[in-house]
Amino acid sequence: MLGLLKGLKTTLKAFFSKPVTVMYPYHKMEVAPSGQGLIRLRVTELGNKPVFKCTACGICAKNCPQNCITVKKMKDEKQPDIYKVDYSYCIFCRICIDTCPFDALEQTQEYEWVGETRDYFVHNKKDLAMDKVFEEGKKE
Amino acid sequence: MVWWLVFLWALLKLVIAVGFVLVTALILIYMLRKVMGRMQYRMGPRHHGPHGVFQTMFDAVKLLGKENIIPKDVDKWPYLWAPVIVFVPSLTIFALLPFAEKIVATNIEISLFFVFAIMGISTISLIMAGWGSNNKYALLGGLRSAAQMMSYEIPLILSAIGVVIMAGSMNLVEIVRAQQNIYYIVPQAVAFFVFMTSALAELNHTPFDIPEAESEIVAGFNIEYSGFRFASFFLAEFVNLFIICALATILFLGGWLPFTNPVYGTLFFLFKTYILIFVTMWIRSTFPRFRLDQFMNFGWKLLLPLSLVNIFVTGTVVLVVDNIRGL
Amino acid sequence: MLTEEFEKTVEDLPKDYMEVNFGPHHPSTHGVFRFIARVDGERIVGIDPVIGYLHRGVEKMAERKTYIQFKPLVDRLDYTGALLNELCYCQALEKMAEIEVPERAQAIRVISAELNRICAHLIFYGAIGLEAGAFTPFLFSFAEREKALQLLEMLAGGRLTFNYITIGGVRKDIPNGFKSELEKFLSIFPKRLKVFEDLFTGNEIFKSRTQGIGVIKMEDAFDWAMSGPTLRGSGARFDIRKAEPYSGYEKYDFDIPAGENGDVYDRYLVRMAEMRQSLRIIEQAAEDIPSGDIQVKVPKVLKLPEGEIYYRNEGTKGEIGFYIISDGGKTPYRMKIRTPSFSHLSALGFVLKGAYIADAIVILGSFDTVMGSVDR
Repeated sequence: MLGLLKGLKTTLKAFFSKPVTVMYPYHKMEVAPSGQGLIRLRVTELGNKPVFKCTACGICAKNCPQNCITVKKMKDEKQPDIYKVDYSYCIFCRICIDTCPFDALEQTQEYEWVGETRDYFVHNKKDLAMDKVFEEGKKE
Repeated sequence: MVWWLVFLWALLKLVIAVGFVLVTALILIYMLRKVMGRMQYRMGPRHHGPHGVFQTMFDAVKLLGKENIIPKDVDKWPYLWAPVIVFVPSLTIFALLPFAEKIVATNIEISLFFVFAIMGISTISLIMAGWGSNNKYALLGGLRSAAQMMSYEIPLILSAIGVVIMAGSMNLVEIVRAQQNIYYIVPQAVAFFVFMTSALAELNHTPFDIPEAESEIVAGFNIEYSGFRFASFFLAEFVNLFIICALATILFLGGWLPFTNPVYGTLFFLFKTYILIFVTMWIRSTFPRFRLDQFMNFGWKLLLPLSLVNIFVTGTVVLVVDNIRGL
Repeated sequence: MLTEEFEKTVEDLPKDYMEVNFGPHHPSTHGVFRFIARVDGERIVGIDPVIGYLHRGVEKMAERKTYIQFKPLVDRLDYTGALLNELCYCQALEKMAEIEVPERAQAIRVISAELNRICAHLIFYGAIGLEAGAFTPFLFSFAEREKALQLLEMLAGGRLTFNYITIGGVRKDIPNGFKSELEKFLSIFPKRLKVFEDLFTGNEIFKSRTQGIGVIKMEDAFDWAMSGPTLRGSGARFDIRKAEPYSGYEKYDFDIPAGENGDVYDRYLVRMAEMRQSLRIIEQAAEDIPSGDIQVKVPKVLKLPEGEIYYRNEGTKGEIGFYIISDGGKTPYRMKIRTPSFSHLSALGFVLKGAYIADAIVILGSFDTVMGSVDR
């Protein structure tokens, strides 16, 4: 009998304490800075022009376990002409960030994204470079 | 000219009674979700009205709107009438429960006996449901549940006999009146324990809910029911919960005493009933469930002898005290 | 004590028993597992397990990817305790390539691995409550698990799959604020464990559901290749962290809990005690983390010398082993993964003989299998 009464006391104490619910989506929990989210390209200034730090060497595409990155270099500049990431294949392992020799990729904390077609999940270099990746009307 | 007025008055009382029953069921379901949620560190329903009070009503409306599926090869008569029959005893008993001194629909001499007699009818609806669905799991679940309910009715009734001996009458109003000096929970503590435990088993509540929540062989007798037929089994369970807690209040906790005023009496009666309902829900969210053979053992080998011993001791003490007073 | 009787399959039994199918959609958790039980009234006479619903071909994929590319997939084997799988894999490669891991990295590895072990045992606590019929322990344990997962997210960057332990160390250093949060967690968690024990451990209904059920004697447990808490519940004090210490475990002081009777209740008690021992290890490891690098320099494309290696670790459910045969190239020639849940499930027919149907679910829950590691 004693064990049963102890159990009842525990639930009664829980009844009078504060619930731990977080009312998503009105309140959200904070994600730590090292949390997993989307991967995006870094942009710096060279002179006054914004350029990508990426030089389209292709090391990230070779090392990706899922082969979801496509890179093609521009003819005369060291900038990517085509840089596409297919997020429906990505497993967020961050091997691309670790192996990049130019530190051109970084990780955000975006985790809420909903798409209606399969093409939504292929991000090209314009989407990857923007600050807010999911505003309306910017995906082509 | 007078006869149709009488008829109208009876119809009005009937509508009020049925309305009260359904509103009670809705309130109890809402209370269960909130209480169980709070005990698990979460909130219950929150949208749909302030603090989610309309959630159950919307759920009932949703269940009403579901497709009317009758599986092939069912036995039509038991299958279709089982959800109706499970409600009938509960509504009938409401006519006999006293809420205050004068507020009782019908007051007959042996109302306690009548209540227990009618409560047994709801068992047959489970057997009908189990047989009527053309499914071996439903049959197994229905038979198990029927066996459980039948074997726990005996300690339930026997534990109330101690109260009848002390009060000297089977009328519910008389029993409450006889508790003016002391509530019967104090001399009849053992009977109270047996009554509440058998009540949990009658209602298929945890820790005795093997027929209902058998996660090994799916959900027992109501596996083939969907839509409002399922809802009627569910509502009937909550109405039965209210009835049994009201009976326990009348028999052991003194009903509406010490208030004789009808308004205050009813309110105090409802307050005591809801405390007992809260205790049932508290037990429901804490304990795991027994295995089938373990609780058959518990019922036949522990509760039945306890209630018999209780009758014996109560009878002896009452006889001795009466003789001493007579001397 | 294997006799020929236990070697018979279900097909050899006389065929007038009722067949009950516990389909792949289980009401209680544990993944997609199906077994068909021959039932005589209420007692199980024999079972026929069916696995393979979660097979992803991990061992075949290993032959096509380099060692560094394969590492994220190792997380997904036993997904309740992912860091422990990574630890075993990386240590196997480091032993074969003869790479020394710095001490700071070893201490961080131990902290993250033990936190992950606590998370996995909390899932067990919730699941066995569900199987016994009480809904409350599940929600209690997931509320506690949230705090441990937030700590892991701060440190490792993920909640379920991490990719944090790399060949030669760990990926990122300890961030600011981690130590104070860890100390807060370490001071609150023992009290919460006491609340969990009050709720369930002394409960007479739970004890009558779990004592004397699913008894495995020590010799049978060794015969069926059990390991981990399932083996320790039968009385054998065998833990790979003490028998073949790795990654600095020899520096820490902790006990190995073991049961006496080998029933479900003892396995439950062993796991609750292991959570407390993990807390002890974390406290000792976090007291003074040595300074230094967190990762040694490893070539971008790792090539292992020719040969083979079998390396084992104490995972959350038992012994995880990696057997790698390398032919000197960039990809392994063969990688075989030994998981504890596979061996435990093979013993299910033996343990369930003669048990009630209602007990079969509780016994399966006490083995604490996770189908990602059975099917690979």
